[in-house]
Amino acid sequence: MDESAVTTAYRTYARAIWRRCYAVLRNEASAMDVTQEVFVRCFRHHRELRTGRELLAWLYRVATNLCLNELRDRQARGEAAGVDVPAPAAETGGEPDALARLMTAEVLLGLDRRSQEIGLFVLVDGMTHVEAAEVAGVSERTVRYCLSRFLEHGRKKLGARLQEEV
Amino acid sequence: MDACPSTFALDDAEIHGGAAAAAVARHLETCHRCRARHAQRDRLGHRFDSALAAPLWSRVEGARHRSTRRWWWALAAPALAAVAAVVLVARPGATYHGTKGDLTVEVAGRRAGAVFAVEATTEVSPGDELQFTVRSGRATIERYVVVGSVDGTGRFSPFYPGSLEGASVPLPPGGAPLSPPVVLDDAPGPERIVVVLSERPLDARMLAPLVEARAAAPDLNGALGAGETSVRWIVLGKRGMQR
Repeated sequence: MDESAVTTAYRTYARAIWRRCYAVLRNEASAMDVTQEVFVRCFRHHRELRTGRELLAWLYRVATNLCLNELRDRQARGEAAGVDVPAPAAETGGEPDALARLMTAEVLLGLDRRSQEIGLFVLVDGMTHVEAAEVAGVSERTVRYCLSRFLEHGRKKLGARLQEEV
Repeated sequence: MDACPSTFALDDAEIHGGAAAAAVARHLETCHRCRARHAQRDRLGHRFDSALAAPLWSRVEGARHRSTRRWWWALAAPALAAVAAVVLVARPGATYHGTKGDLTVEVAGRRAGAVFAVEATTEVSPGDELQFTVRSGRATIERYVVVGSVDGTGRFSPFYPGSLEGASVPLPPGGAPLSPPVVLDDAPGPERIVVVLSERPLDARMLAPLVEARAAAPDLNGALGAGETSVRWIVLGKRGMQR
């Protein structure tokens, strides 16, 4: 894919990617910064860029990781109170849904990056396991494993509050 | 579609249409919650289209031509392991200017897949990847770091944070390298790399004129006003673009 394809990709996907970043970061300027970096990386990897849904999934993955970096940096700068993890996209009921409603940066960031990513995809974005596997580029088995780690971590962090919510 | 669609599914449907879009449309007819989500997404989308898309594209175009780019080295985990095995401690020498504090900077380089040692006499080239590991004997006090370079034109480009809009990044725990590594491009040399550890985060835009004015001068401490600070300069010769 030549570099002009990045221009086309920007026209097609920048809106969705900025909106996705804004949903996680809740800050217009931060969402701009991350979206900028996503498309700079498109230029860097323009030869390997896919098209269609595959490209959207790759952009989602890159954007999500950059957003998680930003949340981590905010937390390290002592701005954790300002981190507003978005409400879940869908109500599924049960413990996962309760965890999504109670999620804080401390819960989200207190795990390995893969589990953070999967937790965000499934619990907050409302992705199915199949979708999360597709976007993260892992197997459904890995999604289930990461999600169980995420729930276990959430139980430890939130304890009684989570039980009350369920 | 019975379950509420994910944000990814909504984006996919909005952009690519097809059967998925039809299923989402049917779902929206019956789900009040998703209609509200959809309306909110529309508002944000219009905000982006009307006010942000054009300036952001200008920024993307500008950023891709910056003199120094960050690179997503994390995708090359096996190569990283190889780099880690040969990381070189950059000892103070003719081009290294230590200041107060117990600050150590380790620099590993990689060129065309081959790792090389970065020393005081090393000449770097456009395309070289550099990975920095910064350690402080006073890490409990000096918890934030800025790393950047003043190129041959006297312009400061921060590596960490990634742009002048950012501030110092937290020092990675456990002596881990800063990530992602940087890739040098064809800005004229030498590369005068400055590492600033501080007690409080420093704004990169505020730091830029101070660094540019004092490039390769040993003492920035008095000018920073960020509590305890330690500064180190590393000056590397640079070859021109190889074609």
